[in-house]
Amino acid sequence: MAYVNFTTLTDWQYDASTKKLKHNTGSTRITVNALYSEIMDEFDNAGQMDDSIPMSAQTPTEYTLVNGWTFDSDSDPGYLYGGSIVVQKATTDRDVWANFYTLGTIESDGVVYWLQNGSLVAAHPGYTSGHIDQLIKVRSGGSLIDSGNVTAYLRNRASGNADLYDNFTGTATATGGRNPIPLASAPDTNDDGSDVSAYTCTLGFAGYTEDVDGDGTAESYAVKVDGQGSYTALQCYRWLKWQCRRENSSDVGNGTQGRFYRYANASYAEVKQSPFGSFAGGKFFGARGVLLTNITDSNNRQLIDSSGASKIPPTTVSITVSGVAVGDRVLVARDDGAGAIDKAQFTLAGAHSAATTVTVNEALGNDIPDSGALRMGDSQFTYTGIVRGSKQFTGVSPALTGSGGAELYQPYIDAVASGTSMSKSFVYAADFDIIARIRKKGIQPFENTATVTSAGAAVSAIRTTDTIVS
Amino acid sequence: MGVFRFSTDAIGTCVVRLQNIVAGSRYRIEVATTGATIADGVAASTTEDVTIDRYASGDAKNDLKIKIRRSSSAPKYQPFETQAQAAAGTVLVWVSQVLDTIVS
Repeated sequence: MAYVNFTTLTDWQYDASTKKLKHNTGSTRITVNALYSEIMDEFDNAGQMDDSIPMSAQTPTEYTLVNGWTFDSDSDPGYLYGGSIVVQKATTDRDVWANFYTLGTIESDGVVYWLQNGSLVAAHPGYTSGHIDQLIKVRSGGSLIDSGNVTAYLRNRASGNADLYDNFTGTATATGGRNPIPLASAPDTNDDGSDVSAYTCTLGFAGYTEDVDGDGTAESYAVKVDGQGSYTALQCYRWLKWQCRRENSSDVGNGTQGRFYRYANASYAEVKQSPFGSFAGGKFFGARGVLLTNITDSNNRQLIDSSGASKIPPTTVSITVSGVAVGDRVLVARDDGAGAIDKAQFTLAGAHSAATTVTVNEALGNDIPDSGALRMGDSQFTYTGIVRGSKQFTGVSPALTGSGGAELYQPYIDAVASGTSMSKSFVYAADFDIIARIRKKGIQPFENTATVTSAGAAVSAIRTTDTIVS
Repeated sequence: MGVFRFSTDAIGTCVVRLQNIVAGSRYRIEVATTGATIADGVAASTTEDVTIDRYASGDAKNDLKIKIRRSSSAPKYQPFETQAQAAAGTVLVWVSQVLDTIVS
């Protein structure tokens, strides 16, 4: 006997001699219940009374191919939905086709795709976008595949219509079952879907350390996103979403295809909307273990190190003096509280002789720059490093000599202008007042005060020609 | 004049009475071991008498499998199967079909 069409569902055929069911033609998908009903209708005909019944129903959504009946091929269940099917080939030899279906509010153009056991599972025939209802084989020849887990992803990053991503893992029951997969997607107001493929950001997976919060102790991270000093946090966020988009089947660096990447470590909390970190209020919020570094707006990030501790970078501010001209001497230093430069900001801890490491008695706050200028009396120095725990300036040049208790201070700017403005960046700790002086023969001396806040400080010099000096 | 019979020939008939069968159900009586058809038909009422051949005691052809199916029109029932043995007189077969609440 060969394959014959079912009486009503003529897209489907059966062969009673080989005990096989087969989707023969057409693109119409039917419920498993419809197939079951057709089989039962067909097999109470006189001609089929001598054939065994192919299928039994356990619940309205759980069915079994019995009496040795099987599908002709694994493509046949692609034309079924709405229920699971166990193919009981022998006592322990059975295939289980579980039914997974998505529900929730999703963007209509979102395309759901499946991951099982590290590989993409093809969507059923005819699927284009939106919710999906599909049978997926979770047990083959009696062996469970990936513990019955199937993960649905929804990651649409279309130009002009990028969404917040989502994914969910469902686990089939022993009998397959009809398993809901809740998904949600919505337009991402921080991602316009623009082409970021030319960005030169880099992504690394190894052990990384960086003192993000500026507490003097480097934290550990599992993933490093390097903005190459050229990109903002927002640009990096978009680039990272681009890495995780549905179309990216390339390895992101840890052996996982970008479209399947979920976390740096399976024990870490997932950020489903954007796996490397989310973006809100102008700030990047990294997923656990993700280090975003070397970006042009480093204040716009809040990270979680590999231990799970939140790390907020210190606020970096700048003092900017504008309106200067090449050759102007500029000095910006702390106010002593009485309208004068605080020349006694620090005192030498013991005598120093030709020292390149200078130890002071006072604490070196976080708002003392990591490198910069020093003054002791009228003598100018520079330093290249700072050890706050030891209250030391290192790399001091020229070498400093002074008696114990000698006063010195740290000007934020103490140099000759080489352009129309001068600036110094450092970590903001608290508000403080500064005095700025600009002097050059030929202009009247300019002095002004300002308060450094969490937004920094700006001083605009007024260069008034000195018509008297000769 | 006598009639010569082979040892495998029928020695008479018996009536298989299908009691409690749902009218309209299709039945098939077959040899349990071979599946060879003995009788089939559609039950006209809740009791259906089917006359079949009976063989000598110990003949496997007396071992019957009875299949009853009704799933083409409502009410629809799950397939029912039972076994019986042909014997002199009437063999009573109690049919206990279960409504199929899943089929549509």
